[in-house]
Amino acid sequence: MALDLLVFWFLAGLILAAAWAVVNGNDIVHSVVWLSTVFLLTAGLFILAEAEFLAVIQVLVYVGAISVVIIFGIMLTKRTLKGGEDV
Amino acid sequence: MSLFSFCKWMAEWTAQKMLIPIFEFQEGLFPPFTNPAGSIADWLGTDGGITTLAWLYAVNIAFAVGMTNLILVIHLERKIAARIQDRRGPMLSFRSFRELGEDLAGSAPSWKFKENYAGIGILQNLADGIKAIAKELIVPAKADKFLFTMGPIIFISSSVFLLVLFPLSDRFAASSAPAGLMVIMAAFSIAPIGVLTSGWASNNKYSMIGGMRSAAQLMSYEIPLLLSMAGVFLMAGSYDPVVIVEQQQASSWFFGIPIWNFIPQFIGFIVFMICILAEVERVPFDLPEAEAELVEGWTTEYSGIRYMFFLMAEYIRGFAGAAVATILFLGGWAGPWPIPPEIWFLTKVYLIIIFWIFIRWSVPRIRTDQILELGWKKLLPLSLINLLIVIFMVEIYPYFSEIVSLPEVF
Repeated sequence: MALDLLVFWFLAGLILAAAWAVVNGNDIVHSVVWLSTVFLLTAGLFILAEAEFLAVIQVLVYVGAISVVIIFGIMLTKRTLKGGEDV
Repeated sequence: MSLFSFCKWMAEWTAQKMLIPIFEFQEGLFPPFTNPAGSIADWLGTDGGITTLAWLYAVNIAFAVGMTNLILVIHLERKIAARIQDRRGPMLSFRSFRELGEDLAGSAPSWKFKENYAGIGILQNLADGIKAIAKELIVPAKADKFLFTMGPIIFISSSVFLLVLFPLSDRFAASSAPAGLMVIMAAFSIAPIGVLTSGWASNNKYSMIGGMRSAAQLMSYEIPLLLSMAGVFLMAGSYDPVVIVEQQQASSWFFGIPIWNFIPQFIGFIVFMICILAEVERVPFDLPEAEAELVEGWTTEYSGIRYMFFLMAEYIRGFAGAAVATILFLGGWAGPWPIPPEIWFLTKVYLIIIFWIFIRWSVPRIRTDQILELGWKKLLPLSLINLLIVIFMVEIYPYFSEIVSLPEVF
């Protein structure tokens, strides 16, 4: 039981740190990668709550689809390479 | 004896004979100081400690089996490519080792070789590995250092995770999750993030175009892939690989010959094979790393062991994709008796992989403007038709055959 609590607080701390990194990132692509980290760690919380199927669907939908759509959207909007050249 | 019970026996043996004495010896080394070794020894004596150790062994065995298969797959690809394209390296790679030995020793070794050096080409993998480890890890000056490093890590870790997820038979399984195949698809779907981040972080036009192509491809092919898998899940009523294979064995057609899923769901089988090819980015669908137009796409800027990681992860994903296709449509590990089920499973997987390699060296790459059209306009309706057929077979026909006494055909 104590081990469960330890893992929960560990995951919760990691989720909070990753969420802080989402908000405070300098680059929007970094933020999206941290956001997908938040989604993955939330799946860990679901496993801890013995909801394995929900964890799998969380990874499949949020990490596999939503994060990729967000990254895709960012990359399709107009931006420049570092160094000023247009893509 | 299943893999897990074997590992449990091994864990008990190692804990009793080796680990607990070692930790107790360590505990006694410095008696005045408190030492965690004693509590570790106590924990290994309990049931939880033994089970944890047994899982550790099971996962490691599955990992070792998977990596051995990976080496064999790479060797197979090189060998068949060498046969088709008349390449020299994979056929004769031992000769270069002998020449290296001659250079170092100053004279020819005394041992003799067969004239054609047949069957020694597997050392090409060793040479490749040494080459990859020895090379410098180059990070471009204007690249995003953090994501440039994280990209390969995300890609390889989500791929290695796949190795322990599929069972080789109902007794040789490291993971026995009831949602087994969904876990595999979830692990498959993490990889695009690694691809996109490494393509973006390289700060290079071609890498970024490769990453975007990869995202478009993986996103649009995941939907027909999962829909064609849904037919199999509906027929078996479960996500568990063991249940799916048992269902394929139980449904007999005539004379007791089992009818595997690729016969009633032929459309789904074709859609699944095309989509899994796109998912593991093998040749008709290797647009993200098209050598001719994009200079290896999103892996352009990577060198040394990082490039090796990408290559390795791609082959792991290919192997896992072939394994999923075998479980879903080709009857898994089922086969006539004298050959053990694990061998049957690997035989089917390797047949699929050899088929893919033949496709690789004989089919041109499809065009960029065709790829989304193929995914959305052709494969998605076909997979929906397949799902409709399965729903008719499983749900509607039995219902009406009870009411109006139709013959039992499915």
